Amino acid sequence: MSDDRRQQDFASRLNRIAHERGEEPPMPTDPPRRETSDFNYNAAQERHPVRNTLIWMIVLAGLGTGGYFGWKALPPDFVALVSGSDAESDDLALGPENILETDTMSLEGPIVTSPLVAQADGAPLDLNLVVSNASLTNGETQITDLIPIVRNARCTLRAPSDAEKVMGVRIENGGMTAPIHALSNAQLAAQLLENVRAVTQDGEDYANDNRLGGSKSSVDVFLTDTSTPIYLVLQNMGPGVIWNLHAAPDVTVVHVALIGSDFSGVANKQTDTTIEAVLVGDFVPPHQYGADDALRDCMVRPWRNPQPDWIGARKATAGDLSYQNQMYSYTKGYEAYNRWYTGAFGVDAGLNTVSLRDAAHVLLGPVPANPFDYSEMAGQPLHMMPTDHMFTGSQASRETAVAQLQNSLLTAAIGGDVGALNPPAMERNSQ
Amino acid sequence: MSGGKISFVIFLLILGLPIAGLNYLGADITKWTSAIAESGITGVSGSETETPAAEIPEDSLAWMDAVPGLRASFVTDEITPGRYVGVHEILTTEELLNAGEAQPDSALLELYAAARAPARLAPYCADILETVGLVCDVIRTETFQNRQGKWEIRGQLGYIPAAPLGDASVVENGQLLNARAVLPQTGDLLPPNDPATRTAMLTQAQDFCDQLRAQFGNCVLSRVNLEVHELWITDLEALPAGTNPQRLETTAYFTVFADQTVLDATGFAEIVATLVNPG
Repeated sequence: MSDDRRQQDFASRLNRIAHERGEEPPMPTDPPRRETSDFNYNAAQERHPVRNTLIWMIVLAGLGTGGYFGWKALPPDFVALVSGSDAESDDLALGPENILETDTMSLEGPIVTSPLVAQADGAPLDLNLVVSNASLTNGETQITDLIPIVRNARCTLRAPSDAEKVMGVRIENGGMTAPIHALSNAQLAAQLLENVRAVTQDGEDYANDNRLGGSKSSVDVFLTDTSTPIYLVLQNMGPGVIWNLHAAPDVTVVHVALIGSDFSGVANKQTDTTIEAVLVGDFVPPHQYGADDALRDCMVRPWRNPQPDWIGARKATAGDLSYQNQMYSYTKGYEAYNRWYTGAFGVDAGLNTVSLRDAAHVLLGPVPANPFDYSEMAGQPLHMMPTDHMFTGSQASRETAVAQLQNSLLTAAIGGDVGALNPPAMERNSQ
Repeated sequence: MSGGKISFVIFLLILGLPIAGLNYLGADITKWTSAIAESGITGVSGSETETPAAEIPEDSLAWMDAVPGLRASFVTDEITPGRYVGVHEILTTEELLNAGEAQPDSALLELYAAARAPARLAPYCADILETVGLVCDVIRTETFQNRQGKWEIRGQLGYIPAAPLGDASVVENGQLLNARAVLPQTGDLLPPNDPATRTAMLTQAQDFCDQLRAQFGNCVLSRVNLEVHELWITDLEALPAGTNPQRLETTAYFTVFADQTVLDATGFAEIVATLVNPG
């Protein structure tokens, strides 16, 4: 039906004329339907297939372009949520440079900080679920004595018996400060050499207060497996760790094997627990890329097996060549270590073992039905791998002692004052 | 043209121009919009809120930053990594220690060598100040024990040149050109490593640089390597008693800032080689 008012007016006028003549007015009939232009008044509408196609192409191209860049601009986690894609394709899409470390996941694995407790399977637990009355170790904790642990010089650790269960912890760094400084003469020289090179090669000012060697960390190990006596293997790659043992009631720890790259120790061992210690440097040279790939006897450097959620592994998956090389090296190092471990302890290095980069507290065994008492380090002796220089006491007194030790050796090495590391500039007219 | 067609053309322009602009002039449009945004920000803050900024001294050498390495070579009021004399010592452990000093544990000797290196090399500044430098400073040292068990100490002594460098600012289409040459020796034997030789070598290197500056308008003696070679005992047997076993090989590195349409690196290297060894 037309909306043309003039046609309607004309029809009503015809009706009125017919009515005045006494004729039967004609039956109104719908005019023929006709499409009209939206733009020209009463003009017939033309078809424009090319024009319309062009318009739609441009509109769709605009929408597609905007949509593409808009999608790329969305936060990656939102994209993953919407698309439901898997982690591997997410990492590929993100690119290695956008895969970043977090507070809980590093390039080399998980980080579990106090008061959370790491366990072999499952998410970290709150400390209160495992122990009560916790008085955590720190740099001011007062210990009573240092009892030396003889280093195993032949790489012949006692083999576990069939009645013993091998359980282990393998980390890089402890999460709490230990109340001891310990360093060998070789470590002292290496630390000072690093300090000197910072001045003579990197142009830094000499500052002896923030380059002290010998500090150690501490880790709580909660033991709750009462099924059999435990043969405990405590392993770390970084600076020395003081392992504070907390055995739940009815738990027996028969033996502790310490494997570490630095001087480590044990606190709160049970009376009958025996301890052995292996210093990595006694059997394998300092690590160089690829050096640990080969299987060999006494390969005691405690590598951890890379897992897919490590940031380094994810960067490798995303195509970063350096991390692919690093993860390959870690994997081969772990294979070599596992071969030695399996031979020495009769079980796979991953069995009953909590493995992560950094931890303050670790649970070996089931979560206890009720929290048991925390065994604080204060007032206890430390069973410690001995070395040339060991300092206990307050944090400040230990740091002062190490600084004095370093300064006296550095002064002797320089043959004079520390200022000689960076002699003043000379001018021609000062000659 | 009917109204409908005009409307259609306008519609196409509105839709198409931004797309065409972003595809073909994207970077320029981005700069243009950024410039507009920045001018707006400046206008607001400058007119009402900001106090007049403290006057920043104008860097008259800022033009040098356009060419990597140019400032390090031509700046004349500071010591830079772009100009240094490389010095070298080879010492026995006894020579590393002071007279009468007890030998430390062998594990400490590397530390001793590294810690004593700056003080051992600083006196070489005297040779530099006597010849090519107004100011001299030890900027880097490194040490290692060689196969003979001796300690080798290498150092970089940065200096501010005493000679004028020439005016690099007048060079058009400039590029930095570097060339090196081993300075000539007389006889079969390298000259002895002593102050007289070192100052002679440094003076000779500076003379060559002066000649290059006369030719190109500028020249920097960017590096002089005083490399020590030790004669073997079998070599010494054929020489007069008391011959200094430590001999000096000197390599000089010259840098000019020259018009790249006139001179390239190969041409400059040939000029330097001919200048230093004309035979």
